[in-house]
Amino acid sequence: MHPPLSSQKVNLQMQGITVRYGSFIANDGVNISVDHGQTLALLGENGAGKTTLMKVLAGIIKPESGRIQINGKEVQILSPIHSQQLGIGMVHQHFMLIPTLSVAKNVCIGLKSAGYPFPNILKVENELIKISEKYNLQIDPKAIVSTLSVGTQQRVEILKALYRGAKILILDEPTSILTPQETHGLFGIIKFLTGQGCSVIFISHKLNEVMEISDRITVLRQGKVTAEISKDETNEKDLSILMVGHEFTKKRTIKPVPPEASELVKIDRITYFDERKLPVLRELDLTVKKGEIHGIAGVDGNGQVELAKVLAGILRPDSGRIFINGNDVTKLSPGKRITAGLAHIPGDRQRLGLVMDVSLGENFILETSGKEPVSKHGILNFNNIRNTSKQLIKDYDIRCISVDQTAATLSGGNQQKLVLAREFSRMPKFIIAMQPSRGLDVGATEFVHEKLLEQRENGNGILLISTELDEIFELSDRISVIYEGKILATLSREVANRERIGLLMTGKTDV
Amino acid sequence: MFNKADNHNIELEFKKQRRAETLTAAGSSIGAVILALIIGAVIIRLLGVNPFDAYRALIDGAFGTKNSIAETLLRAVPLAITGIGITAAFRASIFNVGAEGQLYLGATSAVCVGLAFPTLHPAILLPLMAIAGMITGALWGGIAVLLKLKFNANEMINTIMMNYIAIYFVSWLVHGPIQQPGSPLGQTAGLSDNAILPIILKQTRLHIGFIITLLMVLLTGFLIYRTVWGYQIRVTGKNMFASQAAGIKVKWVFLSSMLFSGAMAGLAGFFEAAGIQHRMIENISSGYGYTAIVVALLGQLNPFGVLLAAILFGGLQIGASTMETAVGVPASAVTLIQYLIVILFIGRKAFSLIIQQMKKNRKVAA
Amino acid sequence: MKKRVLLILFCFVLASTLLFAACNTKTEPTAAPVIEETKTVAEVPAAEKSADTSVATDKKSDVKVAMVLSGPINDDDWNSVGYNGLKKACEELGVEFAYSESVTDADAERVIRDYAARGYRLIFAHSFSFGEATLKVAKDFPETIFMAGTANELTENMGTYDNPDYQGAYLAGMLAAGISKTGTIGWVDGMASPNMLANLHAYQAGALEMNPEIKVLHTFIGSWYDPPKAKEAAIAQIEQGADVLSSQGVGVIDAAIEKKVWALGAMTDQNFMGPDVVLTSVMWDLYPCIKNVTQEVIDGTWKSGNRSYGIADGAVYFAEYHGLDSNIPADVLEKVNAKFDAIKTGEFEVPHDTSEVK
Repeated sequence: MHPPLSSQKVNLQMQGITVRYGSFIANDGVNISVDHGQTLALLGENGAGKTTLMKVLAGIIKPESGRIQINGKEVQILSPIHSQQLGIGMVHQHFMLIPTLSVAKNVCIGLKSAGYPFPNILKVENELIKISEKYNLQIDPKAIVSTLSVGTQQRVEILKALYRGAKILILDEPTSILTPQETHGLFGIIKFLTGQGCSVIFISHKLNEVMEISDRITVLRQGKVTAEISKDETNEKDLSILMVGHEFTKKRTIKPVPPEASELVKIDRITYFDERKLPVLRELDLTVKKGEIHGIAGVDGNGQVELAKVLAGILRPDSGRIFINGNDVTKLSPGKRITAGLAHIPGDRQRLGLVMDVSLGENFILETSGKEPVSKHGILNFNNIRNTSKQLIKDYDIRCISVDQTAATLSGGNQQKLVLAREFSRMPKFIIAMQPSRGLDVGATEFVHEKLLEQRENGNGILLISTELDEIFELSDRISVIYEGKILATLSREVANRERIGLLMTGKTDV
Repeated sequence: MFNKADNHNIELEFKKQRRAETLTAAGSSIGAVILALIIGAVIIRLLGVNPFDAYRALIDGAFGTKNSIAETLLRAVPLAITGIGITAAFRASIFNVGAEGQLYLGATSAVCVGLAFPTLHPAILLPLMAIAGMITGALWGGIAVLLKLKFNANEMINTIMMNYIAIYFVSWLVHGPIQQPGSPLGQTAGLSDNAILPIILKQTRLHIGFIITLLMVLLTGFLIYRTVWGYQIRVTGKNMFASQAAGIKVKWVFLSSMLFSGAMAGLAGFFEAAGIQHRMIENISSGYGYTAIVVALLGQLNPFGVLLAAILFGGLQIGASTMETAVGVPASAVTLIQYLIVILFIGRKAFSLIIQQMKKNRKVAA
Repeated sequence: MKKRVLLILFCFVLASTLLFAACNTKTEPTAAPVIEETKTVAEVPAAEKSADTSVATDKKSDVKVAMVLSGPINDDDWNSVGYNGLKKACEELGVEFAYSESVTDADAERVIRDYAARGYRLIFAHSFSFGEATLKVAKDFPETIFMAGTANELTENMGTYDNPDYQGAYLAGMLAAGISKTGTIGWVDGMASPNMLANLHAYQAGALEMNPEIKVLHTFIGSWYDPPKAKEAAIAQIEQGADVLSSQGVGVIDAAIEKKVWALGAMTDQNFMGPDVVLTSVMWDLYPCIKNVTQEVIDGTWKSGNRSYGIADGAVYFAEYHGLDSNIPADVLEKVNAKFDAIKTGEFEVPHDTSEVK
């Protein structure tokens, strides 16, 4: 499966890179190579070692062994600054920008060549305009970063790297925060950059994107390279096998919800103002039927987080009412709503879903600690907690050593399984699932989806809030699009298609 | 998938690792103490005194006689009791720096009850005084948390400020309305014999409060580790957002942990007044409420650890005056050692990092 | 990373070298530098203790004496009097002694008890606020003898001593009224304890004897040690016309220097604090009392009761004038000296009045 290296001049080569964290091997003799003007996709599940490998390249981690060559010359990357000097630029998943400063000033930060201690902003601005034109980035260097859209901010990061002389650009999961349209735009830029002779390393676990943008693909699995192939030699199905080691079916046969299914949840003109008194939810209406998955699509930051929190009782809406099974729950506390049959799978599971520093067992009883059989007369029943926890760990295939280990020691997928196990073991009636597969690998995502469908089969209602269109389309019976705190449209899955939803997500209703 | 035998081995390995972690944690506390004593020795040497003589005097002063052991334990009583209260609050991430004020008010109201019913049978009067002290301490602490919940006012700053209010208020009381008639001193009249805690060791001042302290340590350990309340305190302290989302009444958790904390401080005040001074006096506490914070942290917020740390600090403080008398090292050298313990303990992360690095080096070398 | 390990090792070696160096020098008794001269005395028993307690020394008695003080022994006031008396008496008698300074009221019982438990036969509790604490310990240690400063309640093994410096205060009042040009003199004091009230009344009586028209101001600042407050009170009295102040606390002499008025010290010779303004000081010497009590304890003849050592016993007297006596009118000086002699012979008894003042 390893074709000989091409005779073209090699821009970057990493050979036999090995990185260990304690006894855990993050990279085990990994080889990658990128040519001039090429896009290399680094494909792998979460925890496969992609980020570790790129941290080696960015000079953040020193490998235990292995060699790095740039233009045939062996180099040792000593520090992040040294990495920049070698022409390597990294665009992190979370932007490293100061929102209150202009683009040009952001570029100047930490750059002595721009003038020290007072950078020559005018000069930098002119240079930035030139680079922006050359690579078709369309950025105004004077613009304040906070006024720019997420997609533009990403282009600012790219511009920043290019200004610092990057020839090899690393993009870490760049599409995870973009709308379909923005993703499309980013791909245009990547093609333009490679056309100009830059090399791009594109980190992703999304098969369709990898197939679309890359020239070559290196697949990592559990720290090892499982394949190094050109795009033309492979397809999505093969890649997914290489990545997760087993094939999974993406298409499902779901029994449609009977039209007479009764309404489980009714959200009636909910309005919510944030701390700055800005409206985040505006008279939002929504219903969820029994046995239905209602998908909420939308670009991040259009009120999804607040919607979930208002439903879970963590935030109090300023007006409007919420009914579960016809009962008004608007004024009920989170605890009372949980008793009423609500389950909440929060988007930020490490902050809202789990207590990272306590044991798995103690995480399982977070909602039920005051109830029998978990406790009696205020005293915890550890036998019961232990046995129930062990059973849940088995049922939900949570990979762990002991119920006494902390949640923080679990991988992201297993943490999510922990949340699911806890929420679903309470036999809830209504489930809010916020970004349930965020940050999970293919196998764990599949598991989560199966469990959600299982709940649907049991006749429970599920509100699925996700920015991943694939997930929405795969699971939902109905799809609503949220935009600036309002539901723009609700479509049945038969009617909905990606373009239409994609346009609605950017606020365009006139189609 | 692991098979069963594998699983068992891994679980054993995990338990071993956990035990090692616990030992390292305890080690960091002990390490801080030892290192502080070494640095203290250097300072004592610079003062022109043989550190071994000084430490011998210190140990002799703290544990050399029946009386000094009793005094050490007696000093540990307010530190341990207040310390376990602070432990509960800190566990809920409520930073109660107000134990000093809570102790003063608790002691005052306990004494007021004692003075009001001097003829009641001790079996009724003493619990009544204890309850009065605990309720007063709890209420005073509770105010700080109510301010936090209502106005989002930082409880750490509130409690510090409320210390001053409490201490000066008590000072005014013992110089004014409840001052002993005819005395120029800031103190109330003496408590009747019925209102004084019985002595449990002859010829010493060790009173029954020490036994109660041991029981309270056990009780607090049980509360924190075995009850729903303790569980909710722990998870809320670690992650209040997740706890709130999971339906735990975090406001009640905050308030109740502080009520407990204040009650313990009030109880300590009752012990000091009814066990040691036999009246309320100005300056009844020499900073026990503050030292107890250090004691709680050094005890790793574990009630049993807190008890050990309290005895250590009690011994240091009692031994210090003997050291001063015997070899002429000022008692403030011991205060210095106490603060060094604090600094080194806070810096223990760096300490354990160094140890880890040393282990790693050894492994690489081997 | 090896480097860091070496560094730590180096620190440990350095620390231990220092320690051993310390041990070695200590074997030579004169080599160890001592910070304060006063501490040397305290070291004497320690050195013996660590050597061997059973070895017979050239001491005349195995009685050990301890004193518990409420403030620092170098306060040139109450606590200095106590310590100096203890030191002089015990060195003369050749008995071992120890002391604890700056002991708070809350901690007094513990410290007194500690000495009792450690076998000290005679313990002085040198503060009128230690009386009750001493009483409690005395009940537990009937073999030990306690002497508490101006205590109200006594037992068989607990006596008391007072400081009849009100006798001196009477003379001070005479002197102050005699040299005052404004006809107003002042008295700045800490707290209104019975002893201080006796002093104030005597001061007033003395002043009135010298000048029936005299006006005597008085202030109790509510604390034994609060120099800014004492100074403030003194300045207030000066502004009301006082040109001679009796200083019963730190801060008053400062005010006298600043406002150029006369000050009269108390307890020890405080002239060094203001060589130009401190005319003299009413001295109190605890040495005769401590010496007699200790001797009685050694002899086994001690009986409980109050020991009052005043002018007649040489325990209360005026300090040197340090050349300032030229400012005193001859007739005033003569009257004061005559009164001193009269008190000494018992011809005149200074009225003892501890009633409260406003």
